[in-house]
Amino acid sequence: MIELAIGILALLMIAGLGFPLGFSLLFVGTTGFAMIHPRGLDAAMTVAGQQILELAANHQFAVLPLFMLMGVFVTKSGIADNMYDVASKWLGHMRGGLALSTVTACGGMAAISGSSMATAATMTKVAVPAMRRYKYDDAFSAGTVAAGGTIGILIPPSGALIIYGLLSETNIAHLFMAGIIPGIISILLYVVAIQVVCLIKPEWAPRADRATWRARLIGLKDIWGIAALFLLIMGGIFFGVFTASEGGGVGAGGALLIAILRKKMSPRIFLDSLKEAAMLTATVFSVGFGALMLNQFVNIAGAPAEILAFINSLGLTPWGVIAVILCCFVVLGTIVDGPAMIFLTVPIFVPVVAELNLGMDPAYQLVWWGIIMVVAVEISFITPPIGMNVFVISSMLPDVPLMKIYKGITAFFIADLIRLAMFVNFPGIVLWLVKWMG
Amino acid sequence: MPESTTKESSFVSKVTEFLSYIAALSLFSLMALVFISVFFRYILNEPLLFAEDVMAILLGVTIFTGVPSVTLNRRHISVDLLTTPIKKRPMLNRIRLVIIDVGVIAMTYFMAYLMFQQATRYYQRDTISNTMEWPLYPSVFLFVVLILIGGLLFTHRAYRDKGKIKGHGGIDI
Repeated sequence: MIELAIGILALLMIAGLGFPLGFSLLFVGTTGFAMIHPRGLDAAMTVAGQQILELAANHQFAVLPLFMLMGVFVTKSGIADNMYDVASKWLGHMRGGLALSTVTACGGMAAISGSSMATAATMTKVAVPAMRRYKYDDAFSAGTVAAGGTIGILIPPSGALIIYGLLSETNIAHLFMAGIIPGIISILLYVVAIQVVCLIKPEWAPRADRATWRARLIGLKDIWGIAALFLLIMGGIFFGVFTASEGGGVGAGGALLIAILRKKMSPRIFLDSLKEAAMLTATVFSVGFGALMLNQFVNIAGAPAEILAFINSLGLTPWGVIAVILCCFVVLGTIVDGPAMIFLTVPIFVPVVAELNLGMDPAYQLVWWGIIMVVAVEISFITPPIGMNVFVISSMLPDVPLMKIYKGITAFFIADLIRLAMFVNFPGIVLWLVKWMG
Repeated sequence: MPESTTKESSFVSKVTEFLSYIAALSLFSLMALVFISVFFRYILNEPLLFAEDVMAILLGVTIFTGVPSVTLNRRHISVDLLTTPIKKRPMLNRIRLVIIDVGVIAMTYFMAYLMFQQATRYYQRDTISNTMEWPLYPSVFLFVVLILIGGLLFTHRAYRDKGKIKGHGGIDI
């Protein structure tokens, strides 16, 4: 166990000094494994090589690049841009209507892009100018976009859920299904948060003009293709027609087809999308190699059992342990960004959570934890001082001070905490659809 | 995206660009193969037996041709927890960046060696793929070559930069 403590300390030092996280994890994982295993470096190198190949040349893991490609096609071709337009036609005339439209459009875009920052960046471009036109408060507008963007990593297909699934060997189709109801609840809670803000500060979010029914219905034709694609993928996975990888392939191919039919896919955009998705894939997998090796080190060091023994000696209940781990996430979230947090925490916390008796079906415990962890990471996207979504929006709206954006997030942050408490206390909300799927 | 402050030689730029095209082509082939295999299985009721094995190879090629671009553009995920005080001192920061580059080069060659070991093992044990029973060592040797090319390109880049870089890597999931 002392080897693991030294290893984690070394990891924080090396990675903390700016050394790429993937290489830091691989270095610490391999060195630590070599220190403990009787066959030393020879065994560590064999295991490291096997881990890299098992991840890099395994057809099941094609799910990640394929869903990433789908997200990049959708984002780069701009076919998701009119989601906000459609939402504002339907909801804009209500109290806080443009903020409601933003959150709804964020949910819609999340369902096809799977990316939090891409959602936030796109919505900043399309929603903030409209909200400014109707004299929305800047802090509230920016806060709505920052918070709405976080939904991107919970609603499937989500890059974060795929990475969690790969690292923890949890069924990705189950994770996708588990993300749907929490994603819808997230949107509903944000809607409530907007209504509460509008009650307290009605001048922050005036009503926009009411669109005619004709305009609303015509608007739907711009998004039906994408909505159908989402339903096709999720329906296919839910009913067992596709595996998650096949869903990704159909999703990417479908997004490409829709973009071509809408004349929004030029050869340049097509090539750029492929290159960007390939680069994202390489980036994520290179960290995955290291995370898997750290996982091996954590296991050979007997950490899960020892951490549990330590926790038991403190007299904590299993739910107390979950509370302590979530506190760790809150602290980590203030200094480490979301993607790094997933890679750093999965190897350490997942074996611990797997051993806890939480009174739920063990087959689904890690599915539930995946959702809880992603919600915690989502919250970190808007938690000061490193709120990645806040930084993205701040760079796109230089006239809105960072502190003002954080002020505009407050109501959504409270909604997030309520949401997290709900999912922790009522696991059935998360697991209902998965159990139905079987 | 981080920027190199030195100009890249046209040869290195061309090789990097070529690798990124290969990565793009490989990813497109992966998408097309999955799309077609779903069509064959569910519409024509004729599963493509080779699909899973080819997907595994294409995924590996996508990753190992993409890694050089990620490394060269310094887009690896990094945490930067302890760098703030160092960044205030330009000389110290430059030393830090040089050390990081040397570390990245060392780890890249280490990864190539790990893959080489695996490829040799596959060759000696005649390890084959699950469905088509193709020998696996050629694709793993290909991965070794791709990692080595990435390592050489980055060695060249790091030598030219000598720590004179600015910016910060990162990724959006």
